[in-house]
Amino acid sequence: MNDYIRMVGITKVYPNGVVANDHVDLGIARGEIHAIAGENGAGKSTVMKVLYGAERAEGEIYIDGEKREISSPKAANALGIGMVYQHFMLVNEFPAWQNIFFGTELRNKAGFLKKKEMIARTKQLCEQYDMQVDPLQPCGQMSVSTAQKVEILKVLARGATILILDEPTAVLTPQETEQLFRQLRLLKESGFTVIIITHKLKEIKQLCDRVTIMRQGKSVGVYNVADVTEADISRLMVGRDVATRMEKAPANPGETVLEVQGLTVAGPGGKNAVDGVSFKVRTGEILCFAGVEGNGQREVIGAVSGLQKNYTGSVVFRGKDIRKMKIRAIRREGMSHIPEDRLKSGCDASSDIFENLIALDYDRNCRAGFLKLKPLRLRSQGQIERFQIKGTLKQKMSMLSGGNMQKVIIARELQGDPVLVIADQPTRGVDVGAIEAIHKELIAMRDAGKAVLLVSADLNEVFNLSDRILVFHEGKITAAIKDVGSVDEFQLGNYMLGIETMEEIDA
Amino acid sequence: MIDFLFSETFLISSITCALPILFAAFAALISNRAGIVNINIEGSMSVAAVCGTLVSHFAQSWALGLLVAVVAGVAMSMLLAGSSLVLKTNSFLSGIALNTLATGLSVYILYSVLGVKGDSSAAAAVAIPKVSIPYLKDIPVLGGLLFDQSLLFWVAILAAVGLTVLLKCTRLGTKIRATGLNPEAAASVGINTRAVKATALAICGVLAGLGGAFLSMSYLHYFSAGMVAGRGFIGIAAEAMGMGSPWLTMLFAYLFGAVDYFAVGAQTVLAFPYELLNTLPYLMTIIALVIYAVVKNAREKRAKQNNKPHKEQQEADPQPPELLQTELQEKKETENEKSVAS
Repeated sequence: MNDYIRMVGITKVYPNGVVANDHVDLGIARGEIHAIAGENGAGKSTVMKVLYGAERAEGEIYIDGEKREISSPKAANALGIGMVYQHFMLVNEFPAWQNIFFGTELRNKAGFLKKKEMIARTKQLCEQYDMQVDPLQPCGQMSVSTAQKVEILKVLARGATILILDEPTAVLTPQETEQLFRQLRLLKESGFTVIIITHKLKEIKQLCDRVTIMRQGKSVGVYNVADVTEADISRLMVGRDVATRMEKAPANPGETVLEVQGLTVAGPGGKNAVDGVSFKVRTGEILCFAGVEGNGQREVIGAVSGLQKNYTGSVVFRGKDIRKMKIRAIRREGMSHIPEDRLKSGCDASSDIFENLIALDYDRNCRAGFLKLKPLRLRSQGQIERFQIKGTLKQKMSMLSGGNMQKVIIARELQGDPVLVIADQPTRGVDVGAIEAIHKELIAMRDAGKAVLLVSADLNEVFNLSDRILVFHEGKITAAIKDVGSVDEFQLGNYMLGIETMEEIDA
Repeated sequence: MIDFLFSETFLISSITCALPILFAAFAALISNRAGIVNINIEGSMSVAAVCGTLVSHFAQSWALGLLVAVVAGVAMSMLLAGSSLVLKTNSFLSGIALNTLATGLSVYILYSVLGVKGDSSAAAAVAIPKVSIPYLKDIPVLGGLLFDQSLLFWVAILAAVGLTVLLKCTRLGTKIRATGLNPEAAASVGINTRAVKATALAICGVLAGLGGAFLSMSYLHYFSAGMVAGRGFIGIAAEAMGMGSPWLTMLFAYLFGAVDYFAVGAQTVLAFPYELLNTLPYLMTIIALVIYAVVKNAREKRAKQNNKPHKEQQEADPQPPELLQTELQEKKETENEKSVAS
């Protein structure tokens, strides 16, 4: 093989036992745009961080035929490898030029910064690569796409010839994406090698020469983009063979418990993150928000759960206006919320399982200011057994695996007879066994006559659980699907990408 | 009273009172800019003060005394660096512990050398000289203000210029600022943020040492227990109000110095209980900080309404999907630090 970059047998196991990369082989040719594609958690970012020296892993890396040890980003820079992270590494208070030359500042003999020269070099770089950036503007005041340009220029100013971009379009508008692609093609023509991490099929077809597809930490294969269709890539990414259907009885929807009317949430840059969304959630059904992340689902959940009050429109839960209620009152009314980010808002990782399990109602299980420890412990022990949580009451949450941690949160949220369960990405980063258990619990809730509002970016999950699907695209509902069996993944994908929109939306 | 406030003496003596506060404020400035809150400046000053004055007395050399004071200041700072950067303790808690240590340590040093616990007035220091420029010092007001000042007055001016240049025009300054603002970004371009913080703390120690030396070798010519009297903390307040700018910091340090002198000087012209007057510098610090906090909050609120797209958008970023992202992130950070350190 005459690959410019060759990675052989890359294996990365995190201390908590998660295998992010399992003997991944990767070859990238000089001067191509190469996509690393795969679902969330397939190990795409990890393998690229290994190449960039930000993660250490087993395996060998060859650059231009020579074996290299890349122990740090600095070492990677020296080899001409640069990476633009999904979360920018910019000092917001610094102007563009200072971020671009950050760490490689030009200095005169006395050791002082040559500010003028750096500003001039920045302008020159902007012209050379056709990017419009004001060298003097602080990066915190820039739009995301401009900040991204600064990141790319920063990498180029360091003399990189191999560019790794982690999900570069995740936060860009279609127009900005178009512009970025033009610039990346320009770089390719000037001899740069570009690697982009993505899960967007359309973009792979549009931009890339070859694609390496990853699934569950393994490389599934390398393909010439011209030889495969979007459907092929998607099939390889998802691996339809692993999809298992859940057995569930038809839904039996009852009364409406949550009604959202004309919900609009302002987003960044004068655009609405949520734009006039209306829908109802009824008891005895699982309503699912499907869509690519960042299309307004998070903001809707923020408004519905009462965590975010900055919106127009109305959110009515069991006849009461959510906006006027405190979180505790909303929860007392029967809403439970399994948040998307389990570490940040789902639990307190430094407390133990018992404390996390009683966090919602410890105050109602007190006598004269003292906790009724005995019955609470008994109840918690019961929850541990029922949800098969691998841990003891006194065990710290931070010691648990993602799946177990999620089970603790779900056990807590399903306790005490909720009316509506909001499950936001409930199985993200959770092992297969736990996924099945969580799905069963959610279906059991539905069968017990509760309303379930599910947010998921995982199409398998969407098809397995939903009784109704609302598809989100750019803050709007592009489709309301009542008969889940009547659509396939492809059709759903079209709605998710905004290629098609249902004419009449009855949500 | 009015005469007193607008007298030449008031103007000049306020500067004298402001100098130790100013050094403390500059010390706070450089460590804050690197993202470390050093509340041990008070303690550093006190240890520096006792070491400086004793060495100055026994060596009969103010220069040697000054040098030792600075070294003592740096040593105290390095204790904080060791505990908060190497052992990763909370820098507030270490700072409190070190302040307590310094209170005892300074008296211990005094006692073990002179055998007294109160003050070292029996062993007066060779004072840090004044820079008196003949003829120029006889210019009314200005002469006394500029041309008949302690050497450390000029060192303070130099420090202000030096800090400005350091932060704005050098690579080290860029590293210090970036480390304080976004350590992750700094680490991502291969900067050893721990080393940067340690360097900033060393500079902080030099400045605190100068402040301590001024107290016991210029303001007074001996050390007395508790002589720093909160100036280290008032300096931190002045720095906070100066919002990281050396010149604004200087202004607020002068303001606090003026109040400090007022509390002393007014006792002769005002019929007011001196116990209450003595609380004035501290009361003023609290009032000033409240005003500062209110103004700052109002400004931030306005800035928020003006809606900075980049920051907002970052909050709205989809979370990277990998398992236990936060945990991994933390781990990665420490790993980065380790690998850079080695």
